[in-house]
Amino acid sequence: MNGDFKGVINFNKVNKWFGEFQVLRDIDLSIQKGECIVLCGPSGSGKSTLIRCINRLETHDQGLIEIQGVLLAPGKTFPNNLLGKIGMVFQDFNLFPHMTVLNNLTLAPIRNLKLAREEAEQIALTYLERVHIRDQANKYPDQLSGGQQQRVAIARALCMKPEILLFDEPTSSLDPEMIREVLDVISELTEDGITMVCVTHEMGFARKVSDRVIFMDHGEIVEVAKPSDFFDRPNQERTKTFLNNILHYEPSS
Amino acid sequence: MSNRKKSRYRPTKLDGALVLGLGILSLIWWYRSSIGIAYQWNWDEAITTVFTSKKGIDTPFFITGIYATLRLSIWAALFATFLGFVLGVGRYCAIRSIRMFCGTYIQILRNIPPLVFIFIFYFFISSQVLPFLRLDELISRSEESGLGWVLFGPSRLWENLISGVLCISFISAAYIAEVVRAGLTSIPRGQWEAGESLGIPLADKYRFIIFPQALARIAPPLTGQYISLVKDSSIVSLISVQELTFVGSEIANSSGLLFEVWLLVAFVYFCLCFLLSISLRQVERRVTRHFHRGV
Amino acid sequence: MSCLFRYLSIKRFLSSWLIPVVIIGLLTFLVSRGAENINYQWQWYRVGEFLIQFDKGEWFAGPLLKGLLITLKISLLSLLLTLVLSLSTAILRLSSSIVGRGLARGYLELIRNTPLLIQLYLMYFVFGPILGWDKMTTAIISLSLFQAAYTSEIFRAGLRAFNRGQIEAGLSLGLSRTDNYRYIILPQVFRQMLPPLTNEAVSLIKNSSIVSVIAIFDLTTQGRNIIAKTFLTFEVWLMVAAIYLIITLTLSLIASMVERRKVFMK
Repeated sequence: MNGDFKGVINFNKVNKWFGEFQVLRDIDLSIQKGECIVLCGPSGSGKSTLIRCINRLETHDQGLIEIQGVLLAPGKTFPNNLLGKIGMVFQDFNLFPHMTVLNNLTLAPIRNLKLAREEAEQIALTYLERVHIRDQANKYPDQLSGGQQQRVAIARALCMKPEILLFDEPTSSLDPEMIREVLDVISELTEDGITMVCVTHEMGFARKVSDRVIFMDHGEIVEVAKPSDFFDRPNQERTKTFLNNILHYEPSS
Repeated sequence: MSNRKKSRYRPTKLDGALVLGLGILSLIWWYRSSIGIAYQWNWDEAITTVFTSKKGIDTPFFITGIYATLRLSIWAALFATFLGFVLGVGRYCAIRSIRMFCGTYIQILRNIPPLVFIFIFYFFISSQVLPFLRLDELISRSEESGLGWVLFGPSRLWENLISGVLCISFISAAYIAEVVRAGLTSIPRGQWEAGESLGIPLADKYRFIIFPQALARIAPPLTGQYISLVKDSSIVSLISVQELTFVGSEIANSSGLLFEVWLLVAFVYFCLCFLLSISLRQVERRVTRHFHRGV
Repeated sequence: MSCLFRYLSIKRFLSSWLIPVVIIGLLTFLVSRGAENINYQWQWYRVGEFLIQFDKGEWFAGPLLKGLLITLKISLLSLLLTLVLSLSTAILRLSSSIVGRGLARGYLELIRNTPLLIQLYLMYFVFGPILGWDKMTTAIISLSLFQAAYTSEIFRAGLRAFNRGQIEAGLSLGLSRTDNYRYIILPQVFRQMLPPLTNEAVSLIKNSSIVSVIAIFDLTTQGRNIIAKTFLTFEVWLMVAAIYLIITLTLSLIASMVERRKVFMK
């Protein structure tokens, strides 16, 4: 299933429970530096929980996680120097509504990296340019469309110069016509060498942009493959069923 | 915010019925008050009694009552806000015992009748706390300066003031704590998570992300609480704190002009609260301005 | 599934009761230590007789119990009057009659900007004598007028948030305006309003203690009288406070249980 190469993110026999319900089962995973991984699967399969274990918004109950050489035992959260080095883009954007776009981006570099305001703003404007939204710098989040807000969120995560970037269903809250602009931005980021793990239902995106696709179901990793193999020659039954359901709609009768 | 177009006013049947009803009530009132119990309205005497000063004291008794109420309300508002915020954050805290302790305090003080509380408080605490604070020494040692009088009132009434302020504060703090807690819990979890994933330290999370948003949600109910606080100050008249209600009661009883004096007292409270609510609404509008911006 | 729910709510009931009781116990202990310092003689055994007495083979209600009954009576009557007043005010505020709206608005501003104590004094010294009311009537009317100003907001919010579709359905079926109100709107509004209304009831019971200042023999007055006669300040006040707390906390709990149950049953 996975190589034994030590990657930048490693999961070793990781298990997690929510009360009685087991949400992650014996996860073994190794993600190399610079890879772009797409994580897909039905709802409740544990995909979001898995990536939240990477940046410690959730902690696991059993097994070992290693991020960039730092070993994390069950229940442990990050040492302070790693916070912010793993960026996250949320499904609900989670922009700070009471701050302008620019301040949303500069808050963390100023408070965490202790940069000066001018420097932080320079960096922020560069990234706003990258996500093609520099002219909105002084607007407030509620004045922007969903697609624009998500792009701001991506720029905000990038301002911390993360080496790992996590996406938790970044386009699921967007109107269909805005999905494309966000996916385009994410595709462009793959050129930068950042390690990216993306939970998404957008199969076209997965196919074109990712290096590997991981399919999860009921808390376990069912199949891992390169996009071409995954979509054209899936191995497991469950993968086949999932792909059938998500790629073609046919009425049941 | 409804956009009411300027509609032409058309009298309805209800209008007619209400006006008729009001007219009948006024007639009854006039009949009963002048003929039924033959009360002699005496506004002249009332105004003079209220606004003349007793011998030897500069300000009229009535006015000292108003000052006392203002003093009580302001000090109590400050202390209650502080205590309320501490309790509200405490209710939100991760440590279970702090949560429960704050929760119990809030539950008890919100469910006990204010009257019962101030009597209990008065007996238990003032007899213990004030000697504890060695207030008598402080009183005998201090001189009455102008600023001191404005802030704290006459020194012989300091004990009074402290009891009153503490009473009102403890009760109001329980309500403010609930408002604060509701404001904190209304912040979506995603805001915390975004701050966390950006690596922002905890104190800064509170300072830049959570509190600004919480304050916007807390501001409206909080201003309502302050108005309630001014009204609740009237209750401490029952433990002989010499604020407006107490003063009014004394004047009414000594002069026999019950109707006029009580109506005056009610009028003063009304003006105080009404003006307060208008000015607080302005402040509130400023604080919640980021809610009003449209797309 | 429903037994699980019942078990959880009993647990929650106990734990939310238990902590206050424990803390009250702790405070009482501390207070008693303070009392020893001033040589206070505890006489807890005498408290019982204020609640209930057994004399010549019959149970008699002690003064505290009598006071409690008066408190409950006042609260109940005030609640009924409050409901009537607040509903009328809410409807007036939403009506198309300008006099009605003005009247309602004026009433609300007047009541909400003056203290309850002052209103009570005004009623007792001014309006009562003029209109010929006795003490009880004055108290009940005063409490209701005060509470209705706040309760009307609850009704107004409920009526406004009411699903327009229901009204339209009623009208399209040919129901008259009053029938619409009577059969469709009001029943649903009441069901939704039950939890906040219980809070208003709690508020009424708390505020009812203020009638003590016009010497109505409710629970608080009885407490004060007993203390004046026997000087058992600690015991009696703690008993009175405990009785009030039991009633109000129970009501609040019932309200939150009903609220949770409604959501659950959806």
